[in-house]
Amino acid sequence: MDMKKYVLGMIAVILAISFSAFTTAKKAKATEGSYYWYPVKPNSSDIDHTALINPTSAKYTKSELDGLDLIPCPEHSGTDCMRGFDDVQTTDNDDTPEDFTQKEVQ
Amino acid sequence: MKFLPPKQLIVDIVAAIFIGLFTYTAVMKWRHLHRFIRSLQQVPIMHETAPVLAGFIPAVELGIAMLLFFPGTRTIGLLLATVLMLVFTGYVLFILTTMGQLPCSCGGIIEQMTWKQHLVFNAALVAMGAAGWYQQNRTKSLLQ
Repeated sequence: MDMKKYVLGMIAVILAISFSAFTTAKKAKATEGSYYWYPVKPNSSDIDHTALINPTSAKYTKSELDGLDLIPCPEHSGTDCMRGFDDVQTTDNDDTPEDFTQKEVQ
Repeated sequence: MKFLPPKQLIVDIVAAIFIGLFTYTAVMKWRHLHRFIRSLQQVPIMHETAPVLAGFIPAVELGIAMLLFFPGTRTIGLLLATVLMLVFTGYVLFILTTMGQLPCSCGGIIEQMTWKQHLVFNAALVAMGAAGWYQQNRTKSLLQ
């Protein structure tokens, strides 16, 4: 068997497998426009929860939220801009003071 | 050392390019099979058949790569590679004209191309495959 006939093919296969080994799948980047932002005060009862389900019924407009001095809305956002969490937010950050909850209570 | 005639060398290089391309994209599609299935499912006409196609397309690519690898089956391999690239080009055209927002499910770094770049890339490969197949056929008939 004349191996010279297979040299280019073998090089191509080796290169292809090598490249595939070093290529990682591109993860889809979340852009600002991918999310709705819901600024809300923790533990407050004045959240319009319908806004969390249906962003078009958001309670505050961007200009209103800017005035509330909460987490600012992204510049591009339109009239619907709120940030909310259904659950208590936890953190893995070791720098968080242990008496954080106590301080909040006091 | 005996050198290959330039035209035959060109055919061999074309075959090697297709071998590399099909092997690479087939491996990448199988490595990220679930992702590949999901991206195919986003095309309405392929929603139901996506899982079957996701296995079938890389298998066809590897099959053609094998045909191209062996000199005895290189002619049919070049023809099938050109036909497959024509099918892919048709798919790119369909996506471009109907739903250009979809991500490409081509496998690996080729996914980073825009659809228009992809169309040009595919068209170049179709032309290259056709030229390679024509040259291979000519060489064969001259030898007979």
